[in-house]
Amino acid sequence: MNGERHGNAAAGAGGRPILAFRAGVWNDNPIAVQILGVCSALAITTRLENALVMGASVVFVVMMSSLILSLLRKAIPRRIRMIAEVAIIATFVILVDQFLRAYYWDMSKRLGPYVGLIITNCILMGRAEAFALHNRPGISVVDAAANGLGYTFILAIIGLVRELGGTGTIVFGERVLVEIPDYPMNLVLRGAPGAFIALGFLVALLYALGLRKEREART
Amino acid sequence: MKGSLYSLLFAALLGAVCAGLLTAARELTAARRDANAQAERIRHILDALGVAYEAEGGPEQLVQVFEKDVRTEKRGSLEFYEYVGSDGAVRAAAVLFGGKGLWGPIKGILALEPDRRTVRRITIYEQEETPGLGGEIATRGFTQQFDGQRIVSPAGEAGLAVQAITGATMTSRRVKDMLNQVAHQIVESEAGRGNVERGMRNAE
Repeated sequence: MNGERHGNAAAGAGGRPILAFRAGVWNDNPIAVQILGVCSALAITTRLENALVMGASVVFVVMMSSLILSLLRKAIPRRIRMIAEVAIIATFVILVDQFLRAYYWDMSKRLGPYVGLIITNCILMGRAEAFALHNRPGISVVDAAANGLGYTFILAIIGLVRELGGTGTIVFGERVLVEIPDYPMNLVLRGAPGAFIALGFLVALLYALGLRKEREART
Repeated sequence: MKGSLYSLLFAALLGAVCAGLLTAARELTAARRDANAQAERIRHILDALGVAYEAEGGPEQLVQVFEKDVRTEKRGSLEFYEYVGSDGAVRAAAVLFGGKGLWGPIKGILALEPDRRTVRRITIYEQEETPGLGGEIATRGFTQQFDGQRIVSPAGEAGLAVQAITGATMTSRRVKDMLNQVAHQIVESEAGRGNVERGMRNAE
């Protein structure tokens, strides 16, 4: 069986959970550093609440799928490895989707197709392929949680900026800023341009804070 | 050969387990999901009729308001939802319409004035058409053209004039057909009733 593969910062952590966790959330952040999972980061972050629910969904699915895949890693035949990964990820995503539709209907409508699209989110397949299939369950779950939380952290910041700047409300629609009708920034921030701009500035800010230097030092 | 057999068995077992899990989840949540969908439909009808309700009230509250203020009457092949004010007078009427859109089902509500001939407002609440093109049918920009239109022309023809969306010919055509069909159904459903009323008047 293949040993532990060193394909990324978490694996290079040599099995130490705290380093793996830090890698997923910070120096190997899925959106800011690996540039994965970006489309849902842009599409649904019009409100902070959406971002948090989406983040929570991704954390749940990536943790569960990484756990199961890691437990089954010696039993999954190589030739159908990817199919097995997708099947397991898809099952958990659909479970989350059904749950939201039953118990959090408004949010389900707001997130729309993007819950189902978590199946195609590269972060999940990425963690499965690069980590869960080559590591023990314990650390796989830590790695998964870290990547999920890293994703959520970025989404939350973008969601906060877009909701405050675009609508003037904050978490659960509490109005914070005075509403100015027809203010152009509202439309920009609430729409696609605002998402790209917010993400771009955020990543630039994170790099300025030293994110890239850590990555370059490692490679 | 053994490797292939194992792969096959593994895949079959994995498929069965996943399918079982999902079926169980679906069954367990079915009641709540259906309640949500039903509450959603009721909310659209209440919106179309202009009935007041609490936005954050939840599905039970919606059903309550619906049962209190809205009278459902079946006429012909249609179900009319009438908003009955506290004085007993009908304030608005609504009919559901829909059909096959280009990419998926289109569902809407036609809200009428109490005379049941003048359109108050059309709402498209479910559609899967091309965003930006066919999808525009759900926007106020498209639906406001129907405000105030009569569903029967002076010559007695039932139907609505539809200003199509450029670049969304198919969707526009289908919506036109759906609206014309519902207009016809409304007039037809009245026809029987009108005869009964006339018959009664003659008997007086």
